[in-house]
Amino acid sequence: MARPLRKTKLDGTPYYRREAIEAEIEAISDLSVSELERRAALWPSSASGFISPEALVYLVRNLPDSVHRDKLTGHLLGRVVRRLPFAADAGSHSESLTRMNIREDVRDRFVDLLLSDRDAYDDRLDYYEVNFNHATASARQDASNRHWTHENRNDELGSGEVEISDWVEAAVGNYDPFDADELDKKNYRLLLDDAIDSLPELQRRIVEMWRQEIPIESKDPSAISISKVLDKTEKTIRTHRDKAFASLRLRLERKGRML
Amino acid sequence: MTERSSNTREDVLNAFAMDFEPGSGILERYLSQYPEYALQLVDLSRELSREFDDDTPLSVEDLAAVSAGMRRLQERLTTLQALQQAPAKTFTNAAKALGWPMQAGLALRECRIEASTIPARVQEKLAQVLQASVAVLNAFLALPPQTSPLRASKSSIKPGAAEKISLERTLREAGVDEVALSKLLSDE
Repeated sequence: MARPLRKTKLDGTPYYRREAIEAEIEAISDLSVSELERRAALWPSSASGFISPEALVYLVRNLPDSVHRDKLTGHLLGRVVRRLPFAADAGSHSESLTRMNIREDVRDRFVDLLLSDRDAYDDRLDYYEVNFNHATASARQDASNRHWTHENRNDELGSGEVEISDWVEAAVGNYDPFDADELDKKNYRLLLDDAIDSLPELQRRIVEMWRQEIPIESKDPSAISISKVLDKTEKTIRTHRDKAFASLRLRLERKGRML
Repeated sequence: MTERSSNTREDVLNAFAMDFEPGSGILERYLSQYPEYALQLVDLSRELSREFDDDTPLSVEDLAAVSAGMRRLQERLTTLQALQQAPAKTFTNAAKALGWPMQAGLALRECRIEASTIPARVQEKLAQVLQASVAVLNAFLALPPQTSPLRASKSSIKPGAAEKISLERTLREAGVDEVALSKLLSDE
């Protein structure tokens, strides 16, 4: 049985690995060194014998110091790096530099966690055994908060009431960027992410809450709504949502034509 | 029941990241329970929903990032200064792990082995057992050769000035036979 995790949830109960991960760890525990190294190098994730990043974290944390552990650690760092957006995709030099700093920050903090865990068990690494991609996303967000500043982020304040222009109204129509059919296409999802990144902060937040099906306004004062979270009137939220959708539509159509 | 008072912002955001599933109402639940972290939760939700192109191989930029991370891990283990201060046992143990006689371990400690005469694969193994990077090992071996004052005082022969010699000569002088020598110097 794999060593249990020590990190506890907010209610004090312990975190567990997913059953599939526990089964995977058990299944690979008898593999030879060379076979483990071969399988840790496999990519993409659909490849037969692929080792999940969660199981890879478990192995790296529990192997004795050796060349073998170093090789697996190299593959693990590769998995971390795969979850970091390219710096070169950014629009300006300043943005590109910031994205580069975020990449380095996330990687270095992961290395720091590994080093700390080697000195004495560091339960922050447990998150990576529960859900590696989400733990990496959390680290990305943490790094983003440190590196994005008002100086290098091109944001609109969006604080007042904004009148919606005719062109926005015309561009939006019944447009929904989260149309289920479109979201089935991986390329569309990648382009949509890029397009959302280009929105001002307020609009990004509105779009994200919209995507998570949070209502713009609620008659129940205790219920969560976009308007309440962002402390804006319903009209402002609707206006900025429409502006955001219009921008997304234009951007996605332009990208679509370029492909 | 959630123990809100003892939970830090980091605890809440990490818990949210672990619980998150798109469109499952998790964001709404957390926004309701932790309004003080509302904007951070929304921003994290956005990051958790981000799509990655998993089909492409690692780019040159990615591989450089991995190498830099590995360097940080290895350099943190043993520095040049730590090697200089390490006891003789560290080097005799390393020699033993590589199948070298103890005298070769002492020659190593005293920087009397010429780095360029150590095959690359053997250098890698040596660096691993010393828990140092190859670069740190080479920097250590490039230091001026020394002779242990303690061993010099015990010797019946007047010691000459310390000099760097090849790994092959070091092993021969330590009594390693031809067959073992060929195996120890193999670069495979």
